[in-house]
Amino acid sequence: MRTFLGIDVGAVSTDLVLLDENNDVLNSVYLRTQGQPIKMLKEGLSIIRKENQGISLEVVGVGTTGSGRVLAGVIAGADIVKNEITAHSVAALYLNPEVRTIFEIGGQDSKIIILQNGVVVDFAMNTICAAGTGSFLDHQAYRLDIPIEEFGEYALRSENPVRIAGRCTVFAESDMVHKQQMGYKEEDIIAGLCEAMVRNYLNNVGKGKKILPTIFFQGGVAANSGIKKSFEKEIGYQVVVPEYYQVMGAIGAALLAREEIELNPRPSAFYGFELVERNYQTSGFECDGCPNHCEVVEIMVDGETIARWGDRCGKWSLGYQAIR
Amino acid sequence: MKIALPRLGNIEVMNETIITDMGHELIEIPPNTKRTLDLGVRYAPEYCCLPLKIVLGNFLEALELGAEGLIMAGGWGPCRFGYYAQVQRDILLDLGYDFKMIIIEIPRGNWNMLWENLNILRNGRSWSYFINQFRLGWQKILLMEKLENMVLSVRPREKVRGVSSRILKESMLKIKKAKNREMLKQIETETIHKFDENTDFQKQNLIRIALVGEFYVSLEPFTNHHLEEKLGYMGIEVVRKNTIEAWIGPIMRLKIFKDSFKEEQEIEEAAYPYLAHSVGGEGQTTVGNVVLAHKEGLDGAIQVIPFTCMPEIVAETILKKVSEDLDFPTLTLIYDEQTGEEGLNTRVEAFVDLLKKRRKGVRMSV
Repeated sequence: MRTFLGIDVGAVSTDLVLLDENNDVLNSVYLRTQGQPIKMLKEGLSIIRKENQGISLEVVGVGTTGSGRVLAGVIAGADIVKNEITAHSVAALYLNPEVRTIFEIGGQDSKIIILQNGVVVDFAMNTICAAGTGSFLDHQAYRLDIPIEEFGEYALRSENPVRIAGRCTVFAESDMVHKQQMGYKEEDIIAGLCEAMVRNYLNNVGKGKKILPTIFFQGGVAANSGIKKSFEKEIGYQVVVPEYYQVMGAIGAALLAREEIELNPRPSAFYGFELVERNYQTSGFECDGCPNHCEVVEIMVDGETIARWGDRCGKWSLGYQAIR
Repeated sequence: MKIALPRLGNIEVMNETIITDMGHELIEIPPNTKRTLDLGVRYAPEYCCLPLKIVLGNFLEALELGAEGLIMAGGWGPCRFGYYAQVQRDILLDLGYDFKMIIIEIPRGNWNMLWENLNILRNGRSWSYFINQFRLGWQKILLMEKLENMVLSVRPREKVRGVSSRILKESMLKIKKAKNREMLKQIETETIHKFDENTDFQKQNLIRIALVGEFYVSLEPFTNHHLEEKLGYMGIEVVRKNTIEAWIGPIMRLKIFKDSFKEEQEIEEAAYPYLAHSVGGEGQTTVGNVVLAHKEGLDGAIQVIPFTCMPEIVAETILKKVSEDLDFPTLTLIYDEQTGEEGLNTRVEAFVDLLKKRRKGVRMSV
């Protein structure tokens, strides 16, 4: 079977999808990166391999995205390495060409993408602080001893959300602690937190942008139905959470890989699922050849260097696969 | 006196002409590195902007090398920069260094300080020699800037990646050593010839992006994470809107007539419908430059800001309206101490994707 592999290595999660020739999702894997992108990428690939045991798969194209896209591209052998804004919009547009707005909230960053006639016309990412992203929600769930998966349900049960300060997570947390100590109901506090996060997002990431339907909400935080509800309450439009909201970046990467291979036909650079048995090491050093003191990263397979990057002049990276 | 001049792009080309030739000993400040940043960040007030911190780092490195005099530009107006030289001087004095801060600024009223500082630099040489060398230094800056601007259109078309940066570097070193205008002329001809040899003239209709925003960050490659090079290698032609020529030129041409401020006026007029008066720094200039970039048919503009820069924050907010009115994409990049580049790459790549798709005017389809 001809398939396309999409890999999204983010700060918090590593996602992989395998699409068939009709662009339907055959497999999707969502793993926590836990600071070990190479290990998780290998684990993701072995899960996909296991799920397809006995089926002969031909991976025709591979695309990588996410903040770890360059590394993932080298490890897996990618045909295209794309930023996550493009990847997310491609995936959303594939599902619904009428999409005008995409809210994407992941573990460490959040973005808003504005589209017009199927073309990205504007985007923004959170700049200075990570307020309102998945990591903060995780932390609060842990503090309240509620599984993050149930956070949304708690919020939906609330009838009177309390007001939580939303501008800064430090303020939000102290507000929450204070209201807990005053005896407010847990679900009201959680619903209040969801509203605060949405206000923060719309003010900081979405500031000044025209938010028009159809609106897609994707990324890990879209699992939280409380946030979705708060969005709808705040902006007054319906918000759509697509079926594969968690792995939209990976789907976009796979679609981009397909486009790339179809535009420039060639055999895929993919190393094959066997790469999970290979032994990867990374090391880094600071080049002292000139005052730039570039931090050079070196990737080795079973002792042999396969890629280097990080230098400005090309002294170390020349001769290896061009990264960007 | 052992004198040092802080770094700003390739401004070092004039070091020898205005320092060594006056009989001073030149202290070459090492290029900006993480160490410069670390030093600056350690001793500067936390809420100050990146330019202050990096220049302070420059000064600390210069003092370690034995500098006795530090040259710094001054100014006045609502941007904090006008007071940076004084703040830096006091920080360094508090740290126990013994040196003279040589502040060059157009005075408001008190001309004594400028007179005194120019005399320190002149070091007993005749005024005519001093002015002559100062002008030669200025010619060097102008030539350097001209070549840098050429590289912006050569780089995305270069036959061998990285060659144009290397040619530029070699020419910079030659300009630094040049003794007169004839030599400069020769270097110019040679360099342009080398650029031409390395250019693939077949490559036409590249995406063009204006680089606007705060002066120091837009011109200092270490500070903006080599943004011009990054874009160049992505096949983008960058159009620099901030130049040293435009900044100091009107003063250097010693013209007090309105005519010498023509470019400035043009920018102000362009900004007028959106921002009718100066907000300090380059705030109004940024807005005007974006309007002009649109008029000139560029594809988009990137605004660079050091974190906490008030004038640019004002401009950023106004740019949203400009962008909407003119249907002209802009991207704002805020720089602070971070050295990780992934976030920057993501934004820049996505912006370039956006501009490319706009040109094609087709759906992003698969």
